[in-house]
Order: sequence, then structure tokens, then C-alpha cells
Amino acid sequence: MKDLKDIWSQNDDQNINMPEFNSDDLAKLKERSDSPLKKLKRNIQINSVFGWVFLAGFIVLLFIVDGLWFRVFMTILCFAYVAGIFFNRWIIQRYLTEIPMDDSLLDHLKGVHYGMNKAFRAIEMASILIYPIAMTAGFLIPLTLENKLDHFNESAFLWILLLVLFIVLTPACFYLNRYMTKLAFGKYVKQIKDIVDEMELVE
Amino acid sequence: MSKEEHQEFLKLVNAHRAVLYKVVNLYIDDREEREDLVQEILLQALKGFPRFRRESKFSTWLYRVSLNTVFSYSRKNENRKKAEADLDVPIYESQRSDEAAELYYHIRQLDDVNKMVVSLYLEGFGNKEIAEITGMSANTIGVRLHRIKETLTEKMNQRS
Repeated sequence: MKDLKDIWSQNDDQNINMPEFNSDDLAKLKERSDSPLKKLKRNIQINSVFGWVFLAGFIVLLFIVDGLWFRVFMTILCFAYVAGIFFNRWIIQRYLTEIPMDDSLLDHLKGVHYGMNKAFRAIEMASILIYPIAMTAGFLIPLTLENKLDHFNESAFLWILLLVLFIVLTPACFYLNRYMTKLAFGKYVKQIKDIVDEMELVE
Repeated sequence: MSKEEHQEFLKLVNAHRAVLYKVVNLYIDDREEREDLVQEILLQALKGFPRFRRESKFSTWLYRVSLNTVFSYSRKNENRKKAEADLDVPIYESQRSDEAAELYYHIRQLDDVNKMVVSLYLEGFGNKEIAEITGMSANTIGVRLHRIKETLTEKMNQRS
């Protein structure tokens, strides 16, 4: 039996018909979005754009709709959105900036895995703070528009309803967010983790 | 990147372009996806070239960039149980002997990490260089290689 290297060397790489790259090929190279890390970054950027659009809408509502409590909560919501947008920016800069490709494969994959997990956790934590504020503002919009805020202040039922909404919807949204993230990126994160584990396996 | 660096990159990458195609052919089944990944590796190499330190060989660096790109990109076609005929359709036409084609086929059946280790070994990299590219310890590489070589030799012997 021949040595494996001898057999492998029978691959005639000198005669293979591989196109040479030229300057035009390099000029045509574009940033692609096949990397899940880039996809996550793009999702967060899209999320921020929507954040700005909603923020503009809230500011318009702030001027159109009258009512002290509504304005207080809308202002809080506006600040929460601004904070969310800056938080998105921070996540991108902190965890999703480009990981150098010229590290060793193991370091590279660990970097990708760490960055994605940290970003997921940070998004989850931020959402816990934003959901209740958004819910309260959403709850107050129809009451304010129909001039029923006094009714709300005096109604124990509506307060309890709001509390129940907090208790039910905040964890529901939190887990829905986690599920959607897992659906979009879970397979990839597991794939990376499996390779890292396999490479770190002590023989 | 300056025009001179650009030209240097082009010259080096063309001299070692077989690396890109070999890595992509080993890991990706779908032809279109292979072409996309060759482009992607080229882009990553172009972006990383200013950081390339001449301490290591360009081919070693290009292997590292190629493997990092292939491993960290979500592969669209993960189905390993494709028909045998589909498994050996390279993106380029290579002159292969029957023996070499069979070895290539068996290597493609290995898991991703073993496939990488053995292909680097067969390309002439030593355990230390493979450790540098992969980040695994040289000892682990040695043990793995021993085991993979045994498996591959056994499979090749079964045929003969």
C-alpha cells in the first residue's frame, strides 16, 4: 500500500483549470451577508432604523395627543427608544465588530461564539426594560384619545389589568424573542460550539 | 491598500489559488455555494492582507483565512448523505488518478475537524504548522493524525 501522501500527490494541481483572479475580480468583491455574525449585525441595524421611525411617530403623537400622563409615558418611551438605539450601537461595537480572520481557527470560532452569545443576552436584558414601558404607553393611548384617563386613575380593574399585562406579556415577549433568536441563529451557534468542543477535545 | 500592495496580493493569491479551491471543494457540496465561498475567502483575504506578517508563508496564512471563512459561514447545504456521485464534483477540473480520487472521497466522508487536519497534513504541513493554523495543540494533532491515517489506510486497503 502506498503512502497516503504519495497518493495525494497524484492530484495534478499544475494542470487544473482554475481561473486566475484579476483586478476586476477584486473590484467586484462586495460585502456579503452570508456570515450569521453579519446577519445579526444587519438585523440590529434594521431594528435601529425602525427605532428611529417609531421615535419620529411618537414625537408627532406627543404633540398631537393631549394628556399629562400620556405625555409623561410617551416621553419615557421616547427616551427608552433613544437608549435602545444607542444600546444597539453599543452591542455592534462591543460584540459584533469584525473578528480578524487571521487568528487560528479555534480562536476565531471562539470569538464568533462569544460575540453572538453576548449580543443575544444583551438584547434580551434590554428588552425586559423596554417591554413594560412600551406596554404602558400602548395601554394609555386609547384611554387618552377617548379622554378616559380619569376613569383609568379611579379604576382598580384597569390598574390590575395593566399589572396582569406586565406579568403575562413581559415574560411572553422575552421568551418569544429568545425563541425567534434561536430559530434564526440557534443552529449556527450550535454548529460553532460543536466544532469548538471537537477541537478542544483532549485526546 | 496601495496599488503596489494590491498587485502583490493579486500575484500571491494567484500563485496559491489552489488553496482556496481545495478548501472549498472539501467542505461544500453545492457548486454555486462553492463559487460564493471562493469570492468570500478572497474578500476576507483582501481585507486581512495589510495585517499579513511575512513571518509565516503566504500559503499558511491563506489556508488559515480560507478555513476560518468556511467554518464560520453558515453552510446552506448541510446534508451529508448526498449521493456519492454528487460528492466529487470539483469546481475545477483536476487530473486525478483513481487512487487519488478514492482517497479524496474517503477524506470527504470524515468529520469537519479531521478533514481539516488530514488535508493540511497531506498538503505538506507539519504538526506544528497545523497547530498554528487550527489553534489545536501539536500533541492532539499527532494523535488525531495517527488515527485518521489508520482509518484511511484501512479503507484504501479494503478496495485493493
